[in-house]
Amino acid sequence: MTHLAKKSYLTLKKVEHKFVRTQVLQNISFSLPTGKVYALVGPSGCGKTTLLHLCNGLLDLQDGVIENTFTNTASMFQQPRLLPWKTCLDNMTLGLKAKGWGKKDRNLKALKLATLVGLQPSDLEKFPHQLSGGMQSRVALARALLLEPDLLLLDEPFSALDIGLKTELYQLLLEQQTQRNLAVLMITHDLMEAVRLCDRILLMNSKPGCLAASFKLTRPAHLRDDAWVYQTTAELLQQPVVRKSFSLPALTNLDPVGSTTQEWSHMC
Amino acid sequence: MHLLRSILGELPGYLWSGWGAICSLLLLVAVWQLVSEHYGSLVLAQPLETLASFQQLWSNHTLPEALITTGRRALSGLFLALLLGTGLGLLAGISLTASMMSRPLVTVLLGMPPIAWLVLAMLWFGASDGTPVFTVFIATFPMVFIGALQGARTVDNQLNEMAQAMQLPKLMMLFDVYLPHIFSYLFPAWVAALGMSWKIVVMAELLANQDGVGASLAIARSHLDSAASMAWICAVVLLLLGIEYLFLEPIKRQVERWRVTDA
Repeated sequence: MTHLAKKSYLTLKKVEHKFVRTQVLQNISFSLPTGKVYALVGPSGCGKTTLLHLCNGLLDLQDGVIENTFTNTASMFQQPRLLPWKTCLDNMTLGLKAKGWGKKDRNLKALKLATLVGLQPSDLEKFPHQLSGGMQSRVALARALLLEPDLLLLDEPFSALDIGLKTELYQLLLEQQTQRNLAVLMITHDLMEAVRLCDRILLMNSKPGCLAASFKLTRPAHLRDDAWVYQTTAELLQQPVVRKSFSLPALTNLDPVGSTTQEWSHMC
Repeated sequence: MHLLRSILGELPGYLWSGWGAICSLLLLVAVWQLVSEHYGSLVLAQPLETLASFQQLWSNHTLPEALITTGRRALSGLFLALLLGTGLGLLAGISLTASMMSRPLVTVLLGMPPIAWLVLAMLWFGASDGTPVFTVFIATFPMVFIGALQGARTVDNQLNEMAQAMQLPKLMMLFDVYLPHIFSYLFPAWVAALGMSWKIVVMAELLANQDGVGASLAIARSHLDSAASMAWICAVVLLLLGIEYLFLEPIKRQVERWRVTDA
């Protein structure tokens, strides 16, 4: 076990990106190791999606270095992005088909995973438009997990769902993350979501997009109860650097929430 | 194979749903009867007279032979249009410049009345097969071309990105991502072109040829034979209805199952 579990990294060094002449990303550097969950948090339009597209190869790198030593990278997008003319089963197994798996093998594997993410076998025969948004997201999640990735790039995949579904799907995702020791880089503009799920929060400023701060959350994810999440989110929201990034007005009360937990550390 | 089994499975239910359509068609026949009784058989032959004429034309082989001739012309023109229209349309759709350049040209072609093409075709091809084939081709080509162009231009970029991130091989990109989308635009265009071709070919034959359904219709008219005229018209319409509802509609239902919203 131990000698197989080699550490992989997704490392970004001084990544810059321009669209025509607008600087979108400036001097982004961080390193995401195996088994960690990092969140990119920032206001809309700060270049989070661009950064993720650079990581999964949908955009060509212009400047800087991106080193990805993970063997299998899977992505989830803001929408489920299922092929409307394929059944859910065929959508789930698309990646396996691309790798040359036979129909029987890939369907067998998909059926096993489907129950784990809460899909009924009867749902699998349906076309995407016959399923609710939540179900479609489950199919998209299963499609990503079927590839047995060791790095998962998430671009707010559940942002269109209600808060209950969102929590449920993130729980599912985290279970898989701990079981498989996945590295996850997720985008969100919901600070509380990031506090609940992540080991480290990378805060981005916009225009041009750059890393403003990095918060390390020390309490393990499975020990975070609601009270802790609310408290920590409030504490982070009092940080001037966070308020500046989201263009929030300055605090009127100097210390509305006492900093009691302090189970996070502010870097850079 | 799967498609065929699926079509056959749903066929009885589909045929049973046809009773409503047959009822409304019979109502039309009733109105026809009333009108012909009011104006007399010379103006509009009665349905039963038409049926008798139809049977006679069928038994002396005039009707089937004419239908085959006409069908051959319509299909050859249509086939050419499908082939060239689809090919060129897709090519034009791939390049932005080509699609911008071809749009006004195709609009001109679409706006040009088929009868104008027929006049030109008669000058160029005379009374040969060339006239109806060319007219069908030139009238249906722009419809197919536009369908293919739209299909190729509107390929969903989000799905494209997803497929790229999944590292789908080129062949899978083509068959699983591009073609199903393009086909959803192409198929309706093909069906519309088929209906169009059948109407155009009869018109072309009526004016240009010595044989075929159109020519026979012209002869019946010159003999003031209202019953035979109606018989020919019925033959044309029935054949088109048959193709549309027994052949194309079931295929369409299967192929586009993913589009149907169960509202």
